Amino acid sequence: MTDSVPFFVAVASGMIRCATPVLLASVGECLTQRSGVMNLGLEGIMLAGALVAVVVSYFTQNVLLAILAALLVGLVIGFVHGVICIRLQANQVAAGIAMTILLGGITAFFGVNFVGKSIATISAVKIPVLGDIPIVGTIFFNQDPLVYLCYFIVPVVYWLINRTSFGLSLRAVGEDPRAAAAAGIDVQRVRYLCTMLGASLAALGGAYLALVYAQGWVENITAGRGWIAVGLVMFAAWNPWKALIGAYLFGLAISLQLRLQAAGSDVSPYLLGMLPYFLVITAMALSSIMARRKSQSHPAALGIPYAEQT
Amino acid sequence: MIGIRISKATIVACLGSLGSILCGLLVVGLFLLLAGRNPINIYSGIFASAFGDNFAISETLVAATPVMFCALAVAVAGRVGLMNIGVEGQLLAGAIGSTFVALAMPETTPAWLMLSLMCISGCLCGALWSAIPAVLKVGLNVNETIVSLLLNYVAVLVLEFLIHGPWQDPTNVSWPQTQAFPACAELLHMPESRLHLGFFIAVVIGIALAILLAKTAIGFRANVIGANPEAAKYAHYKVNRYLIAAMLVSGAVAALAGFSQVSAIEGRLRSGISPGYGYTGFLVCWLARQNPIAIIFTSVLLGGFLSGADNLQLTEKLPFATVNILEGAIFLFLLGSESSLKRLAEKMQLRLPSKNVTSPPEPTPTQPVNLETSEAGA
Repeated sequence: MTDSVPFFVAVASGMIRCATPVLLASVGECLTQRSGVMNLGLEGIMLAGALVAVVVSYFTQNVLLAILAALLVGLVIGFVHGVICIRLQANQVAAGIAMTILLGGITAFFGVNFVGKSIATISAVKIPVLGDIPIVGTIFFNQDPLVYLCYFIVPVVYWLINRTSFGLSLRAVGEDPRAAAAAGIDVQRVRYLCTMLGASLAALGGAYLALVYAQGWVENITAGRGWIAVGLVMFAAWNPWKALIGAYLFGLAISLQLRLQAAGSDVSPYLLGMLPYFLVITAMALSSIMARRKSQSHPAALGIPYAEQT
Repeated sequence: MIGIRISKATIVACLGSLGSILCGLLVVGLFLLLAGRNPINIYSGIFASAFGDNFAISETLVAATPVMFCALAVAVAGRVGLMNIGVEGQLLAGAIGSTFVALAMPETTPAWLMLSLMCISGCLCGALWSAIPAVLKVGLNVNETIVSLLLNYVAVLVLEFLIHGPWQDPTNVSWPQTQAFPACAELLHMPESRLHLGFFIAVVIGIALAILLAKTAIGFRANVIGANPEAAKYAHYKVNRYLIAAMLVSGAVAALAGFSQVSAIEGRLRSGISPGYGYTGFLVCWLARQNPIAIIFTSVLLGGFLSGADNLQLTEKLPFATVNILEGAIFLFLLGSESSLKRLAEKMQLRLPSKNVTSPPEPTPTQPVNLETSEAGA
């Protein structure tokens, strides 16, 4: 960033970048949870996505392959989570924590060899006309392609959940799987699909962290962003648009923290670093108060495994 | 799960946990093989440096101590149906609270006074840390799992802030750590080993908790609240009070792990005093099905893994992350086998276990009741 960029523009443009990984993960988790499956392994999945992206990018120097590999790994992990939670009907909260412990271990095990390796990264691409608008253009349209993808993912997922017949099925499955099954919906298949899609979006978020944000592998690169994404889904009451607001708030906190540090603020970076976590906890609490007032609640079958009637 | 009785269900549960551990070892062995390591060497190395001789055993018990505290802490919260995964942060809060006293009191303080104050201050800090998710859960119904998890990251930042800032050893500014504690702040040790009083405190707490849960009205009510909050409300139990109390006790017990680590093992506060003891404790609590006595033994086993792997870091250049992989694999096997084991146990007993009083009117046969009870991990 050059000095000519005003402080708030720099913060806002950083906010978009900092929010992207969490946004991808929480939008994916909205989808997963609406189908009645809780995937609390986001933290681990993001780590896995990040490491895979780094490894592929290092060996092929091709970011597109790196992204595809991360998406694929997300699908595979989502499937495994599906087998454990959908097929074997395990406790989904614990399964997510177990998955995070496992993937945290695996990524630390292999990641050591990739610390400080130079990889192909994604850089910003200015959108021709929109990018020239003062301020707004710099903030929103002078970003990397994955950010642009993010602008589409929220409306697409919202549309998928609320306006398509598949969305109707997945909501039915998340609210009342028995009724859904009676209506001829393959409950297990819908849940597998949503879990896998959600996990691959989380892995993409991880890949973003590695390819854009950190530009390489750092142990524990996610620093709790997966859990923050889960928290944001609760804050958002399973609505991707609200998840977007939450993610940008989180991004703002991180971006401000980084800018203040760069500007030589006296406040300890460790204290500033707490800000995003408290922000998310506060947001969850506020959303809970709102939910009580509007009597909205989580998908009725969330976290409950469904056994096929035989 | 209510009470301690050696039933067929208990045996099935034990076999399930042991089977998960064996499967975990097997899969991670394969993984190590694929990663170009010799799993047999590694496992025999871990076993030898975990249980090979008296010193190895004492080191295993040293590693088991914080795990045991953490697992007991998870169990206390788990019994009333709360999932406290924030024990890692509460451990750190306890370490911070104890360090505060150790640094603030004069060096001439008698050891008993110093240690009691450190212990109390640590427990208060741990309880304070767990009070946040507890109050949010009871007051606003915010998910305690996520909040307590996020607070783990905050606790690490608080600790880093202190050891990089106000509490940093003024005589050695190149290391982010506090100065060494005075001699009176050191917990009693067994002669010629690092095994300390903390281990015995953990065992005593485990036994006390087992008695509390199995033999007292408080324990009975806690079990009912965990198994069926609706029934507990009908019975006019003060559910919220129990939830808060359980979380506070849970945080205080986890804090004891932090207290005993800084007091007996580290002798100062530094970063990395816990290589994830809280998460290991979480797994131990699940393996032991929240049974405090089982937790004591399971902690020793997992403590052996930790201590063995710690040694192999040096001798075999084995990344410590291998233990996390092993823990994750064991955990997933355990969770994956749980529903089938439950069905098996039901078949063996030829009658539904008493736990199923919690069922709502319309469940499918194997369907847990609702989010709260399935989180209880009963």
